Amino acid sequence: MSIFKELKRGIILENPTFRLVLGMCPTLAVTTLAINGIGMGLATTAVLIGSNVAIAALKNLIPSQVRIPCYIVIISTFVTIISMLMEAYVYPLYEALGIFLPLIVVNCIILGRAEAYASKHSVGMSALDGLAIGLGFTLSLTTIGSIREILGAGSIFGYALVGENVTMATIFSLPPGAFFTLGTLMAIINAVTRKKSPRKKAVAKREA
Amino acid sequence: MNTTVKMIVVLGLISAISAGLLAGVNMLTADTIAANSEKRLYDKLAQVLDADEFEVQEGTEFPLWLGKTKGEVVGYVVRLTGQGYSSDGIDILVGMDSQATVNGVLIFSHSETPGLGSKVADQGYLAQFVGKGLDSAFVPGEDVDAISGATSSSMAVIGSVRKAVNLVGDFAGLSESAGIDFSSVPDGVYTGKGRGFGGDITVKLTFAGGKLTALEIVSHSESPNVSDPAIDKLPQLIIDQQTAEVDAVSGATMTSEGIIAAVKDALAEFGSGVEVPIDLNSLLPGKYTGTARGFSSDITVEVTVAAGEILDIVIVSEDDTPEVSGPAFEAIVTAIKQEQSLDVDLVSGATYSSQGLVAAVKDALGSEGVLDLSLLPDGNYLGEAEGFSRDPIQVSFTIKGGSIGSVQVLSHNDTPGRADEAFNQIGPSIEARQSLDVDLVSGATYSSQGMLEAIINAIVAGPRSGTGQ
Repeated sequence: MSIFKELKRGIILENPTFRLVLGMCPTLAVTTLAINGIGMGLATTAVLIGSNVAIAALKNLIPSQVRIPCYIVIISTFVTIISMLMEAYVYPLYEALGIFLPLIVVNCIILGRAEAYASKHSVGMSALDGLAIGLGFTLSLTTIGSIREILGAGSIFGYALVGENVTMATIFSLPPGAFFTLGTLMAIINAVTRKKSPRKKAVAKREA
Repeated sequence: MNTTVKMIVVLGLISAISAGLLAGVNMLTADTIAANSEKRLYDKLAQVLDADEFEVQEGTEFPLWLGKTKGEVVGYVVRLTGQGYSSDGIDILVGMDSQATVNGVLIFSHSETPGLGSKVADQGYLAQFVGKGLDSAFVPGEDVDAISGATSSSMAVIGSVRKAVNLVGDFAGLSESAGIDFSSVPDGVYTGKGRGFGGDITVKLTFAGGKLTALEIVSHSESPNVSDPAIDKLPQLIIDQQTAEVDAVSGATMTSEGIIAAVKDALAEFGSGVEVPIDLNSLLPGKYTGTARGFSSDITVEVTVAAGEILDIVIVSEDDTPEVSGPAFEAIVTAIKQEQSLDVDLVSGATYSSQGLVAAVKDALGSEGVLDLSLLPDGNYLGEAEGFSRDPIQVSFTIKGGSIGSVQVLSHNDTPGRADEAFNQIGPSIEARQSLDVDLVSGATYSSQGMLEAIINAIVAGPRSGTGQ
């Protein structure tokens, strides 16, 4: 399995947000701005790679009865480390992500990948999986964040697109806007992928 | 058994390694985090107040920094948390100069709704507070703006800035109403208004026997439930403590402050604030009318002032007990005329009547009086004032035996013809009526006004010595 295929799987076929529908809490909450989406996505990616590697390395050592507590300890360690590093070196982003940074601990994507992938695959493959899924998450969050920022605040990555006097659809910056954006995007992606379904089936057959 | 031991060992080991890692990263980043946090704070302090260094003031209700330049206190910064829309509150820094005038406002952090409440953090919005101070009302729509659609957030910021200004005012001893002595308030009923959260709060205070006996909130438009604690508890607290300097009821701060402000407003005339003494020399000769509350009713007086002296005090109307107040009034009038000051001894046994009379005279001297030309000393008068053109209109006239002669315009640069006609009309009409209360000439209003102002200026300047006839 090539790196490209792995990335494609993480970003498109098994996109955590639109396909697996995991990690909805940060997805809906922090995506008011594009930069928040990137920040949250990258922080999650870093934790995901770290925890995947650690869990893949320790998979034979961890007794299956206590694997969940072990995973949680490993994941929370990485989250705390990332959180401290961010507070020290990228404070504005740390501030923007707020409570959702420590809450990466309970992000089901991470525990999900640990359980579904890292505990069964090699260290290298698990790192690649973490990267792929993480990038998929980052991309989704950034897309949602960009759409909400453009519609809700009239800017993208903080650069104003419209004049100061233009009234934007503020609802996109508010919680309902997150649902509108997510739902619409998911509908579009489903519509597009359904059209392509014969090819997807073929791909799936070849992979099998 | 073996698996149990393994489970404990593995989980313990993973936890121990994790703890070690965390301790390591913490050691690595703790200093940077602390330094960053302090630097961020001082950067922000410097944004709201221009000072070389900031010194934390201990023991204040809210964090307060003294801004110092070359060892001198040049201003203050207060950090407050205002309750906005989000439950997290709005963390605000307010920088003020040494007179508690706002120098800069900055939102340290907030969790208000992006795009709505978050607008209060815009510098464009916060800039409106610069220059506001202890004498500002901080009333939305009047001297400050609230952002529509973000009223809660705006009110939180406005309230916080007002609070910060008052806090520094108290701290630096700048506040005028430094406590009203309730025992010095004459018996009676007083009403006052104060700005709460939702609008004006009107209170009715009843004083009897030198004490506040009842405090009724007559009307308010505060939020139900939220404001209840303040409305229920505060009046009793003020009555119990016999002072308006009570702590706000937590959870209903704005309402509490509104009630306190209303009480202070009601008793404003009894405040122990420093009053500017009235300079009799600055008063034009004439009659001044004033009113103040006596023992049982209002006392109205007419005070005649000329050449910087109180010539006479006539009590126009009063309804105080005559047998008690009569001799007291006489004594006070005599004393004021003798001392040429309002700082006279009160007559014992008729304290309220005496106080009322003095207050009425004070009120009169602060009012706009009616000029009485017959009180002017004889002599030649010369004065000038700006007319229609920028150049002065210069007038001269003579007072002889208390009556004014013809007013001559010596020079002017107003429209020839039109202005001259006005001057020729006003001069004789002043002489005929022996008063400056004459009609202005239409078509030459500015010239007419200029001429009258010049006459007043001449009166203020007084007669020119050595040029008398």
